[in-house]
Amino acid sequence: MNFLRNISKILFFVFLLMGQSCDKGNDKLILDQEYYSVSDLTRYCTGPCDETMGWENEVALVKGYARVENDSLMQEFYNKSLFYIEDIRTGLFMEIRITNDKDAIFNKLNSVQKTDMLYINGIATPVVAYDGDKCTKGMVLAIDNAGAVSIGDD
Amino acid sequence: MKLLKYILFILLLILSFSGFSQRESDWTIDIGLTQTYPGFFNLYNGSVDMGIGYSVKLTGELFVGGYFGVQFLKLDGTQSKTIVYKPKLNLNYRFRIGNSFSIISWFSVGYSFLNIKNSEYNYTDTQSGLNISPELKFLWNTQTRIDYYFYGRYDYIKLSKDAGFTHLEYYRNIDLTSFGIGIVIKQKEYELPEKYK
Repeated sequence: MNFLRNISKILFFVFLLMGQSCDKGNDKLILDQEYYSVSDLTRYCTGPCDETMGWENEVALVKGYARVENDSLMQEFYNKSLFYIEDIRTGLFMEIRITNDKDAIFNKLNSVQKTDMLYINGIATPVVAYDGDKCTKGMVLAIDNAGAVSIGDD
Repeated sequence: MKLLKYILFILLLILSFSGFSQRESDWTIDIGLTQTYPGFFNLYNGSVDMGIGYSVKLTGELFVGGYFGVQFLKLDGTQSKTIVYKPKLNLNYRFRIGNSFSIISWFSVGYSFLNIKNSEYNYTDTQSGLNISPELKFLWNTQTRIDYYFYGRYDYIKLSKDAGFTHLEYYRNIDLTSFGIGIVIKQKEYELPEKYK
């Protein structure tokens, strides 16, 4: 049985070493300085519900592709109050909440081709989600004018 | 081109190992299923993991070798696919359990390349990074030239920094596991250690 003990010791130390390098790191994003991917922002802008996070209600820039279903934006389902942008690499998506100027924003979005990258400048707005007993805070991006959306060029 | 150079390097290394053919050596071929974990590939479904390796005996039950593996990952409901190319060097040690079975522990270090594609958006990108991979094989010694095994493999890939890919370390740490079956093709019959005869 000695060899089994040796294997388990080796594996334990290997996984211990890997655990050290698998932490989330202390990356600091400056949200209004450059356009971040949907994946980066959705990961970065999270937190517990009972704390106010540094990113809340700050200007944030995000880039991604408009999420379409059946070849059309999902605006009709939501009365032009929101749309989604997606990171096609990971499948993660983010809600873009429209607080004003809905018609102008959707007029602009109507010219978007599926393969056009959108660059959006908005306000990181906290939202909460409950998963059983656990409450987690995430973000949606709020925009209020068509100028907040650029198509295919940052 | 970088990818091609590394693949050629590993193949050359494997070929140079095979120059020691008068020594005990073997080829391994395996195929299995991949699992993904939280991180960049959280929403992906792993599919096939397969590879081929060559090992030569260093001393006793200790072998050194090269391995080239490929993993296929798919994001369901989309055209997003990733192929992970994993050239590695390894040390492996065989613990015999009687004369019919062995457990082989492998420890590999390599440099992996992830080719991420989404044809719907004409998107393609290649990321790369250091790959560390412990592995266990449960081997059935058939006393013929071919042995069979089950394996469990863990791959940790630390992608190099690339702000165009991600700004977060979280997405640069890739964890993959795979479980499957394989065969060992021995270049010549192993001499069983005296205590197992």
